[in-house]
Amino acid sequence: MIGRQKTEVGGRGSGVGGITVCFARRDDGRGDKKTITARPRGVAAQHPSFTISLSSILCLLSSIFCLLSSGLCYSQPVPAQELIKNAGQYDGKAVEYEGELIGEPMPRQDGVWFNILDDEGTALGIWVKGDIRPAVDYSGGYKVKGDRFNIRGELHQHCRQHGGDLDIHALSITKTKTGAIAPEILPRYKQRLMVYLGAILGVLWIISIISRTRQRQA
Amino acid sequence: MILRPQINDLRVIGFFLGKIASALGLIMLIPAVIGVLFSEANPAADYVIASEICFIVGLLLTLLCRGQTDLSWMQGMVVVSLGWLMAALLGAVPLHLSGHFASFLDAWFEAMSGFATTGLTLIKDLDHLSLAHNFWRHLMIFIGGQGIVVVAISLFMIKGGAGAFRIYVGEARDERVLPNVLSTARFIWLVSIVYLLLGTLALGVAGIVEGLGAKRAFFDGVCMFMAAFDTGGFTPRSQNILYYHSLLIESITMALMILGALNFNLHYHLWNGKRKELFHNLEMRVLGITMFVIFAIIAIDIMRLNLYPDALTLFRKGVYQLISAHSGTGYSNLYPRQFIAEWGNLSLVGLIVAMGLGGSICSTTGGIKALRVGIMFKGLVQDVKQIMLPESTVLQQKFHHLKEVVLEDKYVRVALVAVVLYFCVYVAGAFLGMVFGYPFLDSLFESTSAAANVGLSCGITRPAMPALLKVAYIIEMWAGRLEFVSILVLGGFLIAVFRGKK
Repeated sequence: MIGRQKTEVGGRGSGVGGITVCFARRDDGRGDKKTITARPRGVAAQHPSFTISLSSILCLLSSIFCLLSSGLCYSQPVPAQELIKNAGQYDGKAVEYEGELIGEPMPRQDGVWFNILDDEGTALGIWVKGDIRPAVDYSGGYKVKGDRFNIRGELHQHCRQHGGDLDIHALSITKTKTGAIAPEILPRYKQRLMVYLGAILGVLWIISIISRTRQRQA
Repeated sequence: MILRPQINDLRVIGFFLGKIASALGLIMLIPAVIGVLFSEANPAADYVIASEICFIVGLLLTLLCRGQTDLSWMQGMVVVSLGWLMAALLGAVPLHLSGHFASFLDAWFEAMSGFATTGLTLIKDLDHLSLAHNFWRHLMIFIGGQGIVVVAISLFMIKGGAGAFRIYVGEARDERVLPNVLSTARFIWLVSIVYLLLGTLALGVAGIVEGLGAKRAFFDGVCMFMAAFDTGGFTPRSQNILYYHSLLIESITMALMILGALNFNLHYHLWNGKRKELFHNLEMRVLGITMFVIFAIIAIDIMRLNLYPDALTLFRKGVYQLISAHSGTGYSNLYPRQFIAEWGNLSLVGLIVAMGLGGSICSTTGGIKALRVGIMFKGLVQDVKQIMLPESTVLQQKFHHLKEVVLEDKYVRVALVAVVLYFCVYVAGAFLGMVFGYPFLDSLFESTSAAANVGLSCGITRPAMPALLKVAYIIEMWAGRLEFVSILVLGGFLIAVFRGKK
């Protein structure tokens, strides 16, 4: 289960001048975790853990970078287009996805459908079981910015339970931002345009009526 | 020798175009009312502005070109071809004002796609679009399905004379259901409105069953009905039919797509209890055979790729795409990218063939049409038989289409010309796509979808696509919907204006 992996790199000190590198810590907690310490310049080799050369660390860091850029693990939610395009690779794996709720949630017998629109403008169907269904304040639509949800779940390229649809079965769903209603302002140019065009139309209508009357009389 | 059109020709054409613009202005008041009802001030204003523009254009043209006479064939064809271009331009105005399109060209593309019942879309952020604008997108399909000019005839134009028939033919309706064009137009409206009520009710109830609120269920229901029955393909949601995650809604839309793909004459026969026509009609037989063969091709390819977990899923996905493609609707229960990323080339070719063939004549579908394929096949069989028989034998081939018809050479010629024209347009669009760097199969898929007024997309159609390709698809949709004849006449008319003799 590689799917989406949370990766933390460096940052936490360990011992005197030590560097701790934690990599590819998986969500399920079964991931490898190694602590590697290195000796900084000018510090004598007194501690037994200062045994790995700087080049090894650089090598390790570049391996982590390669892993991150290869798309096999993510520190950010994955966009919908990426999930659709590479659905075969993600099939049955844990993914993280985030976006705005659009349209109303659709309750079914044993769960509810959320359609979540990501920041790139593609929406995916999220199947949420009844027991983890979150409260919804706003569903996205005209004038309404829907609530924003973060979903961790399993992607199904051709979901057996849902007629072969590409969907995500949520294992956890968290509201990260409450939506809002945007006030609607009618721009001044539209107001003016309506009036001016209305005036032109009125004049043309009168001319048309006069012309038709004259034609009839003639 | 080509004669230069007289000023009277231009007047007659202008007068009828003015009437079409006015009819459009009147129809645009419907989304304006919806905007008011649902407290959507901006969209309501967009439709008031667009409606005013339509009425101004209409009044100006009718004032300048006063003096109504009946239309000649040439005038009728020019009115139809220019009328459709103008309607798409005017229909794009409110869409552009909505702010959901990157440019006016994109809005024009959307309007042409709607009127031509194609369903390819360039809209941005569809999920935040107002109800009024969404309704207009689907209403355009409903109007385009009946025929824009036929709608204008029905509203207030002509009393169903010879000119009306010429316009009716110009809008790619080869057959009259009833002796009079006005009666035919009314019958088409009657059929459409009866199905509209039943279809909206079915989809609305299905929406409620599947968890939508009543208001949204019926709104989506009416929109989906218009796009399914008129084989358009727009949906109120960006995920297309996938939004609903519902076998029930997929089944209802599938039934509506099939109904939309049938000849209105066949509807008339069925309404009058002549159910046998369904099985004897050459068109229906061809449709049945092509559907079966293409489904077999798709099924073999999908099974070879081991794509779906079970046969039911294969059936649900495969049949839905096939009916959508064959009927020229463009609804999909797959993401566009899935076609290219998952389906094999064989399935894609199968879908391209289905899209290219289309449904029945005198229906809202696009493409070559089943009857023409049947006539060509019958013609081929006749030729082979004739060669095999003694020279003195005169072979008379017949086919059943509403009645027994003797197969004549002229039928085969007309069918063949249509097939060649469609084929050329499909391939020309594909080459243009390749010029812009898209792979051949993707380009052919999208080009066929545009020219056959289908609306399925493999991902090429999006706001970022090249502007020239957008223009090319607009022309393909326009030409495909009108089945070329009126557009070729327009071309001849323009040549005559500059090079014709006085």
